Amino acid sequence: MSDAEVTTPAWWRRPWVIDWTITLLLVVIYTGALLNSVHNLGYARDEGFYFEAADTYRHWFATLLDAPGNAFKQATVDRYWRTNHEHPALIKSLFALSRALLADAVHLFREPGTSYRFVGMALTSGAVGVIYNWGRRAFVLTAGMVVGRIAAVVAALSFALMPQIFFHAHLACFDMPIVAMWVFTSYAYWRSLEGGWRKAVVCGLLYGLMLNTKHNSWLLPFPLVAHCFWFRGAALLVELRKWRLLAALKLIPAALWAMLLIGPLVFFATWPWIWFDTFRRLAEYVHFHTQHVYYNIEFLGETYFEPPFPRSYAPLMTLATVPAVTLCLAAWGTGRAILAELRAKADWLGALRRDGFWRSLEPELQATESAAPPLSSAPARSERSTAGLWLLFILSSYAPWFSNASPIFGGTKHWTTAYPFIALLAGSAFVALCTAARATFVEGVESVAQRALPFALCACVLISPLVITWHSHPWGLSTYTPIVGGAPGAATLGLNRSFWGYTTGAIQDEINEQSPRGAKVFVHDTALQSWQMLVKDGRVRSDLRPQLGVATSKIAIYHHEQHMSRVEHQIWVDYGSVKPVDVGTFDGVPVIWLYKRP
Amino acid sequence: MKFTRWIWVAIPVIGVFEVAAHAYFAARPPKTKDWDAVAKKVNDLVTPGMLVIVAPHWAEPEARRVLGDSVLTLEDVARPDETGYAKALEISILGQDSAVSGWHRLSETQSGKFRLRVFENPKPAPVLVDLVELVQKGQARASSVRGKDAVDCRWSVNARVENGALSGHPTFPKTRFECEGEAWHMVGATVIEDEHYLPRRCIWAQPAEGEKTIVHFEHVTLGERITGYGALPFFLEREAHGTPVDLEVLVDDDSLGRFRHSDGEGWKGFEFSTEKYRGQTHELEFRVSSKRSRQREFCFQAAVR
Repeated sequence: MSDAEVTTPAWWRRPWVIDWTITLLLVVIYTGALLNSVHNLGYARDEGFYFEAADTYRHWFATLLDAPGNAFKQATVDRYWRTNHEHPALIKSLFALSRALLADAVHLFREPGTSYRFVGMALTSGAVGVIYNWGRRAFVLTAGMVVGRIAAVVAALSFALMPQIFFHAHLACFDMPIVAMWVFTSYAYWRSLEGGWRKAVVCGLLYGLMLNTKHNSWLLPFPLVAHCFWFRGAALLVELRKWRLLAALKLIPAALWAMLLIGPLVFFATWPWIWFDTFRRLAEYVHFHTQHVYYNIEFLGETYFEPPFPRSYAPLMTLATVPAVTLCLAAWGTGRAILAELRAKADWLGALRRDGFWRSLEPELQATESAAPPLSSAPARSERSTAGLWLLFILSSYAPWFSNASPIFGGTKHWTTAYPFIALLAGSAFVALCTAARATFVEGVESVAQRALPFALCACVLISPLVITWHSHPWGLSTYTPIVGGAPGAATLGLNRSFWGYTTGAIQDEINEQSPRGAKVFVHDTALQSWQMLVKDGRVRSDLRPQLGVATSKIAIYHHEQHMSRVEHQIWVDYGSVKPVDVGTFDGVPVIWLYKRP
Repeated sequence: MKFTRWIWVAIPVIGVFEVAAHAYFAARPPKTKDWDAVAKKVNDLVTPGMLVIVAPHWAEPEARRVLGDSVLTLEDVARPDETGYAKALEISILGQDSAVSGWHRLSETQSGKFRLRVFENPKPAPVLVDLVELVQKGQARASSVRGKDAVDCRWSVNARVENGALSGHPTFPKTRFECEGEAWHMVGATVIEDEHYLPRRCIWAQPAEGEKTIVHFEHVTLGERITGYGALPFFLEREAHGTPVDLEVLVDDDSLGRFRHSDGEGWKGFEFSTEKYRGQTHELEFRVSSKRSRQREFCFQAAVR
């Protein structure tokens, strides 16, 4: 489909106005949906630790303003930045600044916890906006403005309306920030291929921030180098064989150089903890994540707590938690992308058979030298390079779980960096869907139907993600798609029902109602810091006394995970009762329950 | 017209079908109000001694909430197995079967989203004496033996309750035999998780280093056999690194046999014939030992049948 085929109204022809409007709408509506739904979502275990860290960092920022000279001394840095130093500092620093500015200074949020969470919400919403723009730029080249934009909206919303994305987007954690930073950095990389050094510098800066977000950032260079090699490898090899080193280096995108040179500097500059004793602390950071302890996770009725982990975990959990229509579209988009790549390499494969390896590379070098560089040409970006890049991002995000030694305790959040690109491939397939539908359906039909068709198809592919995601709240991690029978089917199959103890928020009213005045509450998997934030928010009563042991408690919360059942058994024997006073269920499946000492 | 031209239709159809399937699966299980409504019907069907079992097992918390401790007792919920029950009422949602579905069905009724079936055990093996219950009531003795030196464990009805949350030990109950030393050195009825993380009520009898923990029952009228199970909390034994634990069962001073439990075996059964003592009253003794004591949180269930 092209512009010539569809008569577009004039207002569609002002690209930046329209696209900024759509971007803004997506960002504002998604942020609004997240903010509106945050009040009954309890605080996840890890959020509690990050609140504590952010509050400590906030003191350092205060010192920076009051006594800058003092702030840069090692004793001061160590004092404030030691907390939670196993994770980089950027996002926790933003939590601290958000709390200071949006909650304490301008009172934007009535619940302090939301000010920390706003960082993740804003970054995720930003990622939704960037996905739209990336898709729009990639799709309109072949699909035309109207279908291209609709396909880009499909991509953005297919990502936003993955239930687990919607859940994680609420949290003051690093899982969605790293997804957002991956999207921002890779988009900057892709834009930098158009040429010019400014975009490359932006890419380098963003990569530095990404390094200071979460350790998934270590993976990003691999797909980028692979992408570079796939598209310029032939030329690169020929140049190297001819000892034309400078020419070979010039073939490497400037953004990669920027990531290599600027990225580490930004990383260093924005994480005070590594300003001193740098190499030891960096080694400690790397060691923590490469030798991470294993936690328990249930999968198909079995709790895994040490390697070997099932290699089927990542694909099956993706299948069970991402709406099927999104996955079908993405599979179609993937097939198209792979075919396009293979077709593009067909000539080279023929030459390889005919002329041998080195001679087969010569035409590739000539193409690079004679024409515009393949990565920066518009058709190349839309047809080959871009989809190939997305595929490589997906592959690299899942790659650690090809090994059965990689931890799986975090469920899908381990590989959510792949999801924006699954959504973009779904968007690319939506273009093909519209093309196929028009070819079959609308020939000779009036133009209203012609125009309505992409919108109708858009509704068909987004209605299911929208309904499932809307329904999932506040039980994000308990949500499974119909492919496994929804939450009840997943419970029967023995898939994890929830973790992190965040569902306390879903029964906060019942806790307040059932608890005697001043009661000791066994909070189970909810971190004490997370409980304290519920108190600060005014969501649970301040007279209640949280504790980590069952004994002497009057109220006991139980967050179900298969291996946690032993905690429930402890409650039974201690309380002399197996009768919960309240059961928090999602689609009839018990997720969290509450005991009261008789 | 080629069929392949229409293949694109699959995508919107999948989208719409997925919404419908989602609505179906979400609405299918009973909700809280449905459980509240079925409670009376269940109470009408339950008779004394009847096991109430929920299928699928994940729905049980709702049943416990509405039926309470009188219908779903700790003893039943954390039962060793189903063989001792003569009858069972199965509360089934989603049409699922339970462990008793193979028994002889006496009745079946549908109540809203629930299928209520009463079953009769074709081969019941009634429990004559529940030894866990005797320990719970203090109708036993416990001691710790090193060589020939035996030290009695003190019976307490108000001991300090301790539990270890996720990584720690099961609850040490208020009523228990307290042996010398640490709190774990005790004999008492508690609940551990088996290899499926299901609850099993049993007698905690972790031996101290170089000692045997002995649980002694006086004046027990024996039947044809003594059956039981032994295990460690699976959270502990799943790593399969620990030293095996031995359990010896004696009638008076006559050893009926030994049962050895190795890590990773989970809730493992044992059975010793007492046919020659049938109908007679004797002293019964369970001796628990291990070459090493560390983390040997052995817990056993035993019954006279």
